[in-house]
Amino acid sequence: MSLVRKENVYVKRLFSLTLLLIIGLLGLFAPIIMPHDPLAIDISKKFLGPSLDYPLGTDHLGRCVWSRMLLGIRYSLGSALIIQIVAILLAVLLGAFVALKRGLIDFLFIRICDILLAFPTLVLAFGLLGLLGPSLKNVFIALIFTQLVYYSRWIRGLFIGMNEKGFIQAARISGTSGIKLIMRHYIPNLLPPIVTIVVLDIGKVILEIAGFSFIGLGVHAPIPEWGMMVNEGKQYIRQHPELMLYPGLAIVLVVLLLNHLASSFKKLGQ
Amino acid sequence: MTLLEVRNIEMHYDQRPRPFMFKRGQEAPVLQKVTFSLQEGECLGIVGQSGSGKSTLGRIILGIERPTKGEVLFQGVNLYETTSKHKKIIRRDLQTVFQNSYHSFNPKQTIFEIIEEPFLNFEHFSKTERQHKVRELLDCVELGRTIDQKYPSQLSGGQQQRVNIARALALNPKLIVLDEAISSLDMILQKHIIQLLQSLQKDRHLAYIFISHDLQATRFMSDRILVMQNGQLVEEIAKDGAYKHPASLELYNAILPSHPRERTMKHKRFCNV
Repeated sequence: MSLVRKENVYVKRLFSLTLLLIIGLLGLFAPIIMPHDPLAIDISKKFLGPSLDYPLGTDHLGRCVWSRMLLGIRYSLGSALIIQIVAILLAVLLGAFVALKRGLIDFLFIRICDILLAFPTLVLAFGLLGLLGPSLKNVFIALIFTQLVYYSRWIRGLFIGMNEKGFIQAARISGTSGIKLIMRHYIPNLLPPIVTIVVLDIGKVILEIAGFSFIGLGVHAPIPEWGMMVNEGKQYIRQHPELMLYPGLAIVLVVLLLNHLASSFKKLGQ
Repeated sequence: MTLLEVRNIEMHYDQRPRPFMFKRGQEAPVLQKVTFSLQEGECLGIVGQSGSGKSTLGRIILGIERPTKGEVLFQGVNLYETTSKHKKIIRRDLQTVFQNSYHSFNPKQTIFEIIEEPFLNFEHFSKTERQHKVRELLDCVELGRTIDQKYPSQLSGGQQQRVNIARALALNPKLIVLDEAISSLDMILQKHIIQLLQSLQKDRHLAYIFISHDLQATRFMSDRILVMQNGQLVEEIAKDGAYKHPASLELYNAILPSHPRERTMKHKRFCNV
């Protein structure tokens, strides 16, 4: 029974990984495979239906929706990936430092985190974006910061839990210390939960970026980010609902696949 | 020559620095005024009930936990007031074998990686030299050379404990702290490991601190025995000396005689029936 279930998890993981890889490659090679310039405006061709030339038709400014969707992968999935990787790397550095130092630094760190975590992530990011002004760079800064607060406190906890483990003490007695100790003993044992959470939260970050774009705090108009495309399409929801549907479905698909992948990691970890 | 000197060690837990508003009341002491010394090549037994502070004392000697008061001198150098460079030199000579061998291995490392770790930190050996050294150590603790690519979970309890001993021996230490090192093994394995430890002691002129709640095994291993109760040293007994303190007698009386008839007699004597 358990064998069958485990194999099932492998199949599931392979499925979501393959689809995500295809989406990732489409995003990576978007400039080569795009049939049209996603920013080129041609009012004479607005609201065209799907055709061979325009696979998903055109939007209210006559821009190719398929090309915009492809380039959008970079802005949505790509940005979320970068935000998550930067946030988790910084969080591991900060969390490990605080967990191994302890003392007053740790005490202050926890209090500051508690204060920041009292606000919901999105509210905190809104506040930061309000201060910094709307742009893609500032979305990055705001989201990396909010993720960092959350992750570094969590990683500090993981590290402290490991501090008391017998093999950490044995390694210290064998003379291992500092960065070697972290790389040889802490990280290999903490990788499964960290990878699971990071993958799971990519979906959350995609939704947050899209949310910011939708309310006008994120990327600016011509950039084909998926949330921005939903925002632009909302004026024509009655006449051309597909303009909102395509990017909306893409967001749902990617987030679902990521959640699926993360849950398969979690099951294998158990 | 004196190898280790422990002077007036005291230990209270919860010593983390806290701002004045968050201060807590001081906890009861775990160790009080513990003083003893150890000669080179000697085996010193430390016995006591659970919670008497034996393991805390072991961790203080190893330099893992800083005592609240007192000093630990290893070859005349204070362990807690020396430079980190000097501490690293002491680290070579001061090793340990833990009670729970499985938990003292990183589950993601192979036996080879576990035993080579001290070499990576202290020596500049090439990979082949390290392989050679690890094989020597495996021979030394009477383990097959083929197990070096296995993971700790694939070994039996006795094999794990031998790997643990091999790792402790890697740097040719002068003192090994054996903290309940054989308590989790069955009687036959205990005997094997004790024999192994004794032959290693003879070959390498090692000193042991043998921490245990098992008086019989300790008596068999040690040249001298210290008895602990509630964080204090209450008695020091030579190898063939008699127990006088109530705490030692209680430990002694807890040993079951091997024959059932003697067991009943001892029980009657002890309970004054």
